[in-house]
Amino acid sequence: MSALTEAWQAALAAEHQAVFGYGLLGPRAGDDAALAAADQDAHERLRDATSAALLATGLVPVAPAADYPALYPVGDQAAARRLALRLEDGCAAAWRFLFLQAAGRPSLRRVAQANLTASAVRGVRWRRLVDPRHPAPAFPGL
Amino acid sequence: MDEFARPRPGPEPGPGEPLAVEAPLPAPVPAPPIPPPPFAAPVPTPPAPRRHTRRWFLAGGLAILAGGGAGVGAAFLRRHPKHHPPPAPADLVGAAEAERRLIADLVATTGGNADVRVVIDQATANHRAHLAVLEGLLGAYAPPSATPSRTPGRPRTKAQLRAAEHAASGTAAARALRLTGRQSALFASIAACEASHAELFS
Repeated sequence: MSALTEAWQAALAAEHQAVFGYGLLGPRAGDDAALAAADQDAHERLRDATSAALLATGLVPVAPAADYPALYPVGDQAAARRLALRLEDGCAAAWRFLFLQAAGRPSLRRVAQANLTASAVRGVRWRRLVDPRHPAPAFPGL
Repeated sequence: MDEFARPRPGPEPGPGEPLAVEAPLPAPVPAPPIPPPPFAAPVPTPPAPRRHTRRWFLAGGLAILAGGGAGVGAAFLRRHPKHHPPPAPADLVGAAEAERRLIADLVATTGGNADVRVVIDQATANHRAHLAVLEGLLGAYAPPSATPSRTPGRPRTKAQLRAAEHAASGTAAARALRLTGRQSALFASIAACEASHAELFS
């Protein structure tokens, strides 16, 4: 498997985890439920689009895991916010890595750039709830 | 002891005699009360045969080293003419300049409520972090012919700051696509950061 394919599959795996994670945190999101639902929708669309793109190039998209034990427990709203932030940081890192690996694929780089930015933007919405004084990292995805 | 009573040096070496030959100890001035010990007695010695002393070997070795070093150095200089760092890529120079302008405007914007101040402080810190990395990269290139601008910033409204961050994000994303390697991923990350600033200013 080439480095590009690995990075692409890793981005899809991060999206699988995000979809699972938002499903996990949703019931504990409290008054952040609408934000969590919107972000879950975004990740589901992105997961589907990424799977389709991999299939279109003849690759078999990586399957989601049956469970993600590292995401538990989510006991309250604060934990739900922290988990959402972790999920977005993970996706940002995966898309940034794909951007780095996709040097010869301008269209894929654009997709990776857009998804890195989208995760960073979703991330600051959660980060300002988790750490209001430091809502934005200087280098998302790093 | 009177200086005139000091032992005299031994005989000067002959013109062909190496300086470092272990010369006989200087003969002390015979002092009548204390006869000189037998080992110090001046012994007439035949002229020493020419010997290669340590100094001789040292000088020869140094000459060989110096000659060899000069040859190697000359060959190196022929192969590597004086090193001139290349001029900095326009994308790097432009990005650093854009960061300086954003910082200047953010610093000049002193108003806003507490929530906005938090965002201004965060954005300023992030842009300074970007600028530090960019200046580090620029250090590998020839210094720019023009000094970086130090124009004072202007106070901006929240909407203007949002627009400026949004525009900066788009420019950084375009730079990321033009570049390759780690610099491109750096700009991709900077673009994402600036988009998140725009989100915070909304």
